[in-house]
Amino acid sequence: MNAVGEYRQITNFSDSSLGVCDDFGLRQSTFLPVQNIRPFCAANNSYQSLFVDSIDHKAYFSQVECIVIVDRPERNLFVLNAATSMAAEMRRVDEALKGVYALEQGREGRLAARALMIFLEKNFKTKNLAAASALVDRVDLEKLGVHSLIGLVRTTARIKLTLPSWNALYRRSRRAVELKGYSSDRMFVGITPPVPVGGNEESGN
Amino acid sequence: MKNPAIDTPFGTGNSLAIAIKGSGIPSELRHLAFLYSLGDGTKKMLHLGWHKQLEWHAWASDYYWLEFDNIDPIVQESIVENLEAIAFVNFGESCEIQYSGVYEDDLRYFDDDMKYASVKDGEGLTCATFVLAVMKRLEFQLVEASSWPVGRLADKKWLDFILDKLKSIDRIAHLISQRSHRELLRRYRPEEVVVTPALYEGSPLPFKKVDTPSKNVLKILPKLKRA
Repeated sequence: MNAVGEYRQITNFSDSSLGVCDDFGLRQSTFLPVQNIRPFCAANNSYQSLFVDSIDHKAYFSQVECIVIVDRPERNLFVLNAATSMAAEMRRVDEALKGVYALEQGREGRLAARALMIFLEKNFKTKNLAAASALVDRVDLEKLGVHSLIGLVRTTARIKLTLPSWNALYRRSRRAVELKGYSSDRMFVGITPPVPVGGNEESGN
Repeated sequence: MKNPAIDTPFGTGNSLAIAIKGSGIPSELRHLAFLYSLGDGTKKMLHLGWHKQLEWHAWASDYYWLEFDNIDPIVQESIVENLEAIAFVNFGESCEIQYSGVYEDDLRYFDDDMKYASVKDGEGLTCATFVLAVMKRLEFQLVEASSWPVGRLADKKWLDFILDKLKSIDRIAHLISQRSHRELLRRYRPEEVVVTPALYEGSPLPFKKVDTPSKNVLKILPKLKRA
């Protein structure tokens, strides 16, 4: 971690929220422009989740406990979302899931799927991939009907390269679909199966 | 191929189809559209009519169609939900879907929120590649792009026709960029795309699989013009 350049500084942060770089006057941030960031795992390997939106070149953090090198911090101020906290984000995700589960219980499977997709698309639109990631991490697949399972996997498939737990979601969804008596091959036709990359992909609910 | 004179869409649990009709002038051109059914049975169509002109309306009965028999009805319903989202986001005066005869299979035509995103000069879609791009966006790669023939004479003439029509409504740079692809143009003809619902089973279709069925479609379509 040497010779990081004239404009680079090392910030060490440890926070369960989306906190980044108080040294730079930035608080509770959800993203930084990826071209300005080089992530490194901390010595204790507690860095858990960083994903990069290859489309708009932003990096997103959650469960951050790592060392980040930030280039030109004054430029980061422009793009940082300083308003969102992890706790508020989690509440929003949980509320959305609660609504989806209620629709499923009411046998409104297509509506539940649509609600799920609307939530994800709205967050995609605002580039809030942290919410999408949180939803993927927190969703209870056993409470979803087959429409929602398909919608969840297909809607998030377009950003699967940026969602750290998408591979696990895909596999768990296949199992959930089969447990409901459907063919997972037919339900997920066309979706390229994830390539194993190692790590604990089966974690989560 | 379902015939509007004798068939009704979606009698067997399907809710998604690709529909085709003759476009009239010039007579060898065809037009392609999504045809789909909502949960309440409402039948709708979504298609790229022309430059920045997305059409979204009730089923028009002058189209022939093929339904996605090999895609599970539940999955079709999921696609239909997404078609509605694409229509909602892109339909209207603010439509930015450019018309272009050049289709780049690896280009990202729709953003994460379904908004059309490919607005550089030369980029865009036709009625047929709109279908391909939307389906690809939803993780259904219908065709194996690299297997498609390039530089077919009829396709080059078609591009000349399209560019002539476009020159009065869009920037010259948009036309020049398209023309630069003329000799190696890879065109996905409507009659080639419309047969994919009958053939697609999860893997991209190579050209050799759609070639003969698409020629059979052409034998039917002249009758459609008299229907």
